[in-house]
Amino acid sequence: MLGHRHVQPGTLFCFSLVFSALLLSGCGGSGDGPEVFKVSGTVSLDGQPVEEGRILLRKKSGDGKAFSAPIKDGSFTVTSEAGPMSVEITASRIIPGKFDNSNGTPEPVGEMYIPKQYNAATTLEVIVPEGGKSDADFPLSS
Amino acid sequence: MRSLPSRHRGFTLIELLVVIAIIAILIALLLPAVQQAREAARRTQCKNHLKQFGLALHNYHDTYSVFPYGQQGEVSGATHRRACWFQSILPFVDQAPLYNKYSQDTTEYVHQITSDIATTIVPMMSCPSDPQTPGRGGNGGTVAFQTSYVVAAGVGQTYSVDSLNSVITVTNMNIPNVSDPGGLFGLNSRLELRDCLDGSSNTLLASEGIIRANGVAGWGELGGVWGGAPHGSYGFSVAETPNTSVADRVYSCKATQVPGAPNRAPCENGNAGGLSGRWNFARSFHVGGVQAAMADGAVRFFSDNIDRQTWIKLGIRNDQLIIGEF
Repeated sequence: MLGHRHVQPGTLFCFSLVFSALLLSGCGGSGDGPEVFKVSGTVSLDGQPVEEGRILLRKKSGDGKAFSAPIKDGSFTVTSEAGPMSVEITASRIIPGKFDNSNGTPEPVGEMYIPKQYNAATTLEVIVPEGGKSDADFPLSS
Repeated sequence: MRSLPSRHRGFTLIELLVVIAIIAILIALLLPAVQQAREAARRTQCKNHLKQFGLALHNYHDTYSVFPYGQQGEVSGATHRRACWFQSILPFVDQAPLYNKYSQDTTEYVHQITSDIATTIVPMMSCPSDPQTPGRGGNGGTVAFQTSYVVAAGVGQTYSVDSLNSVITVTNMNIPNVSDPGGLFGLNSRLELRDCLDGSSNTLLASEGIIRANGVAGWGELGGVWGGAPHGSYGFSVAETPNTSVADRVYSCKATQVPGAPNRAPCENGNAGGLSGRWNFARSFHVGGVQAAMADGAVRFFSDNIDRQTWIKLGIRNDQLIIGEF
């Protein structure tokens, strides 16, 4: 009899739910790679916030991977792995009236005004804890 | 008369709704998959282009017994100053007529060529996953063709190899105007496959980058092969991992960031920022990493999360350090 073979709608619904759950379980899941955390703070030189620049955090151990972010109006937020990091800070400004003509057209030249003990020969450090850090402040002096 | 119980009863409302719901779920699953399939197709084409680029470099090597120079040294008064590997391999990417026309041209700087020689798009050198392709510029202008792929220059101007601990420390990532940045291409380089002491399957030959914008002038962004070479265009550095948040540093950027690109593909204006050193890193719009050609011709995918030391060792042809699985 046809009536006996009839599948209950409830059963069908449950089956479709399980089926779609199985299908969807293959999607998404962007959790690969090392865990990263947000590190934010401020940068100032001689008490003045650094208007525009970049901050770079480099792992002091392991493969030495680096994480960088722009500094805007004295503050930054960089996404980084946890651990001890060496910090490099650069910031630039245009030198008025100075131009480079090596390409045939005058291009304004700038200068990097952060002292080198904070970038090329950096002594700055920060330890990024698991979970991130929101008070990574760097008051620099020239 | 009493109605007979029907043997062919219709569907109930619940049954219909369930069926419609199942169909809806299946369509909802399928639609994003279609978009993914399109991107997967573009990525495969991108990989194919990279493979052909690798083959072109190998064909050049077969003909001249050396790989082309990364960039040509500038000689004052000479023609075609600032030329790079791109012009050299044109006959090997089915662009012999273009190469012949270029050979007969006598412009002093290649970035001053604005005729159809420089503006001709070589489709094989563009990655379709990048929404800005085909690129134009990177050489101070906005019309010359900009490639998505460049050769692997190495790691930089100065670095030290610690064989005992198997660690490479990079002290200067500058790539242009350096005769040996560590890879197979440099200033006036004439390197052969036998210079690949680490083995051709363990050395990078070429990889890809992002076109930051079109219609904007800038000097030195990756792929600015018509004159951007001395400002960093000709090759990429392995000093940082693929799609790094560390900024590329070129003479002048077309854009300092690209919304939507991995880590926003940051770029620093070297000249206007008074910053020394010029470099570009491997970047792409593929999810999770970049594709790169090895010196043996294989094209492989490299994750953004690759160990930085492994990436550096792959980029240096003669560090003689053991590389594990990658």
